[in-house]
Amino acid sequence: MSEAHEKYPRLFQWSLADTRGIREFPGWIADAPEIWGYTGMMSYTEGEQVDLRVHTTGRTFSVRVERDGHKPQVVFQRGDAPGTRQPTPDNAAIKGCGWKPSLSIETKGWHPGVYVVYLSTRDEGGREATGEHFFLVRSRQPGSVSNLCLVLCTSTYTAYNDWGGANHYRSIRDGISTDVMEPILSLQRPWARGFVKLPREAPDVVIPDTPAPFWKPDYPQVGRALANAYSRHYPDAGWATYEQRFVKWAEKSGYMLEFATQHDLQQHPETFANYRCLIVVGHDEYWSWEMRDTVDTFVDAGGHIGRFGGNFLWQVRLEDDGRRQVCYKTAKHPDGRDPLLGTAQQSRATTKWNLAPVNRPGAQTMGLTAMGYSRYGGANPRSSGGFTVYRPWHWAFDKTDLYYGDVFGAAPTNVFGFEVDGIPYLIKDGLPSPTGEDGAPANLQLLALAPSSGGEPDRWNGEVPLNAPLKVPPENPIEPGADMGDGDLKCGAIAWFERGKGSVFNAGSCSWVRGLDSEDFFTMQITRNVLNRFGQRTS
Amino acid sequence: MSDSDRSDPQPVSTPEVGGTRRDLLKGIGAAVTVAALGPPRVAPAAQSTATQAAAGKKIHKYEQVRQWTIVDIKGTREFPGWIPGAPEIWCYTNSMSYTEGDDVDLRVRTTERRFSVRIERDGYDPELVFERQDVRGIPQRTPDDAAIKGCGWKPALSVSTAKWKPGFYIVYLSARSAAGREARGEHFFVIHGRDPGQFSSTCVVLSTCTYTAYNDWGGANTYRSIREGISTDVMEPVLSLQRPWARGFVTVPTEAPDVVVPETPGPFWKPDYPQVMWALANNYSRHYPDAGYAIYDGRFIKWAESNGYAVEVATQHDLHLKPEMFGKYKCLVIVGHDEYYSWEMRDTLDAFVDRGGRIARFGGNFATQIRLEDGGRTQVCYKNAERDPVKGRRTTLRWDSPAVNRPQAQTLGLKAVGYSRYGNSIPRASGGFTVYRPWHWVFEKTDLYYGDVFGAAPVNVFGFEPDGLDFTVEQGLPHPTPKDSPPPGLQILAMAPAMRGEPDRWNGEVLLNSRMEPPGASRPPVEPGADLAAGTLGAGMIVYFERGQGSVFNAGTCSWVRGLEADDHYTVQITKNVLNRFNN
Repeated sequence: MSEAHEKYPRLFQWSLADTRGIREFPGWIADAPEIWGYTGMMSYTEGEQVDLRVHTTGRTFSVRVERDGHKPQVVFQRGDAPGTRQPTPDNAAIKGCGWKPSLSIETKGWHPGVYVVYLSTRDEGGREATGEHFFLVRSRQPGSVSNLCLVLCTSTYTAYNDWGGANHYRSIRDGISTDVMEPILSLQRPWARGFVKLPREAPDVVIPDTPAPFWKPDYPQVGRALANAYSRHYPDAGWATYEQRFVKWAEKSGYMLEFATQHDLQQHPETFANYRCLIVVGHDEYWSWEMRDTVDTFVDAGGHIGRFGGNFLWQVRLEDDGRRQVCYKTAKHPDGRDPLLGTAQQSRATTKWNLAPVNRPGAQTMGLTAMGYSRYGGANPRSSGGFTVYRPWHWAFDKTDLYYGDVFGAAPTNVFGFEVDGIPYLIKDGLPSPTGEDGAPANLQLLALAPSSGGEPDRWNGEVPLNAPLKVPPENPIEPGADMGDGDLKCGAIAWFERGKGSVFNAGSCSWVRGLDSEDFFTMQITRNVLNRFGQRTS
Repeated sequence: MSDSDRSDPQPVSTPEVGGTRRDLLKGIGAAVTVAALGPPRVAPAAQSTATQAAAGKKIHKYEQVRQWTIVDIKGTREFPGWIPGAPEIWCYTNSMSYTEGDDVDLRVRTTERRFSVRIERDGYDPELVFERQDVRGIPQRTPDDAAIKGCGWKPALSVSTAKWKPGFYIVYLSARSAAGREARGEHFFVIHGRDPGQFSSTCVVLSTCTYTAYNDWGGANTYRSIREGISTDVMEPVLSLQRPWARGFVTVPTEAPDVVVPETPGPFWKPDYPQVMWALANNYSRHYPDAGYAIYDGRFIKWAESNGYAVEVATQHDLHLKPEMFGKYKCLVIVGHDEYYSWEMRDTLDAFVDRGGRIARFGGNFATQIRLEDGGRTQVCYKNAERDPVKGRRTTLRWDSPAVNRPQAQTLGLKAVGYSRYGNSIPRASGGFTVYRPWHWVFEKTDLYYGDVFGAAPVNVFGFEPDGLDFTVEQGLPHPTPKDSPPPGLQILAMAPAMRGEPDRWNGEVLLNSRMEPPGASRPPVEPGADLAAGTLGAGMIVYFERGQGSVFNAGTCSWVRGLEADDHYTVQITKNVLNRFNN
């Protein structure tokens, strides 16, 4: 979100379609049965007790816990737990729900994995309410099951989780949902509906079909969410839209994975030393300083990162042992600015990584940074939907049969889309290379590219939501006569670089998983090449 | 085809092909025999024989991957007697263009005693202007080297063109044998008004030098020739225009495949050439999709007329021979494949633009200089500095070779840069252009955005032999570098990757038909570890520039017409924007 937000408010009034009724919160749907749950933590070591905190309108509820993946496996089931209506503060999104534990679950002997808790209750009329939550089980000896560890983008889940009515994009002000972002968010609350589990037919965020001329941006995913009482943010972040699809594909394809959260990177950095490869999938817009430290150290020491995701952008801080996430983004928030600004610790100020107080360019860790949009709102809606290959001789393309200039993953697969990560680049002699101005490693190779857009002019006088930053008219046209601004013309990329003793492969697109679950040959082979090479134990 | 002027063409050595060649000849011979001349049709059995034959061949030397003549045999040399026992009819005219009122001399050769002639003004709504039955055939002798020296046929019929509208005229010929078998042939000529520009201020300039360069009637063109009775890949530097057009250059059935790889290939695809197989199976010139009125200009003219754009028609030869006739046009249109120009043709174009004319080019492969001799009846192109007897700037080489030193881009803004969706060059290209300057007037009313692709597969407006420039991309916008001497102020509006020089992935067992230029002594790898050579990677482009008092729009791709025919909104709107503005 940009400053144009204030100048052209109607263009950004996403909340106009967002009424009080869709604030997911006890009582949100009058007279309907309710059930939600959360746990004290996101990840547990095998053998630990999981404290499940459940609020329900039902007298009893049932619980089923499954290890999620290609073949979900039920590990716990109980049919008649006593239900409680838990008092929930109005500002639970910020302060936490404060619910009391309802049930304790033993994880002894559980395999490393992502475990989904399915909750269900019925009212006296027989109407059912369901809810979901997830937690991770990590091995007592990390790396013993697999040297590939999928790191869930839990900071981004948190930033988009609007359970209770607030996230890093909007909040409840004067009882009305607004587009004013909430800088402080609690993790002591359920995940909004759609973050853990989704029906297959739920639309992704990328524009699925190539639009006809004079199309107006529309957002079937938002319409569907509103109509079905799902969080409008379900396709932005979450296990269901991103990592789960990767895990299903990986397990089906014979890759055993272990799991961690971004929060574990900060809180348990020592647990990563025994992995060969960390995998990041989907949408990892938010990271903390310490999370990045862990990743950087991991790579320097010989580890590898396989990233199939996009939008590396903001610094967050974790507080209260990871139970609270802080992100102010700008110095102009109505609640005030980040208290660390202007202090000795201002490098931890919660804004973009490349801005002066922080000055730790995202590209230093992942090689690419958040740049723009593609097939989203008014941002190149008719992009090919795929990546154009520029260095087909790179090992990442082994056994793909791809040629220079080939496009893979194009519409309707759309492996390239939503929020994409790129790099300031030059093309010379037909090959792209980084300019280095964003702090990207000098030895970084650009393997594939596609255009993206950081800001589009409005073509509808503010009557169509665009959902991408606008500059109307551009503050500094990129050239005389242009209706796009200096810095609005972007790209997304696939990059590879070596750093220390390790290396990073980065396919900078949120929607890479679409290529896996549609079984696009090229997307799958590239993913296999990366996992096979990075997962090898080198002695 | 951007053929080599860097290395001399190597003749095929028959023994190296070995016994396989004989088997192949048998297969193709059968194919040719079963596909009789007559109403064009696809002969599935014959086609599959040809395909199998092509797939079954083995070539042992890497250099011979381009030896297309492996499937090209005597039987496909279009020449009197080429299909034993079949009736024949061909014709040509002394000139390609006439002024209204001139008499057109039809030089007809047929195996039959009588033939019939029909002449139509071609276009969206073809107009019959002349018809005559029972014309007496006259004996004609055809020298074996007719492709070089001309057929020398006598006029069989003279047709008056009084009051004929400016346009493109097709001569349809037909003759029946005693057994009732029909032979057909076609030819074309152009009619100019006595007052050029009066009928329309837009003039389509047919790429007749490129037609000539690919016309293999008689067995020779700028790519191959007959040597010791066998069709080889040795190019023929001297070509006569006093001969018929090979079958498929004037008309072609709609089912004839275009040259671009039509469907996006799956993994581990091998290049194949349905258009060549179709040609061989149906007795068409294998070069029909490379050049000609039928595949390019004709499709444009039909689209233009159906959209309310009247056009006059001229030839590249007119640019050379009658430069004065272009003074009254506002806009010249070039479509399809204009690989070859003469020095004088370029002079006419440059002067036209400098004086305020506009050129709208929807075509590709601006590459090589030719010379016209004998009043335009002979075209010369050696592509080899030593063999060409004319030394200096008129030597028939690529325009940017040091001897010629008249960079292609100076006239139309772009130069030939390679291939896309052809052979194994970028077979999975999007097939369209990616838009980089959507705010330019050429994109008005298109609704295109930065980064949008238009004309993608299966439309494929971008393909075969595209034109581009050496360029950089900075801050998301492409800019030409000085390397290719682009006109000042040229803007790159859209791009797509192009390249020339893929390595062979099949040990010489698959025909590639595009320039192979893997890294080697003359060109190092583009970077360490790359299997592509420096200087072979680039992009095809849409550009616009102003020059003198005029301006040039150039969509540098051969297959633009595919977007018009497919009624692709974006291709159509851009074309209309250009035509409308350039006629204001």
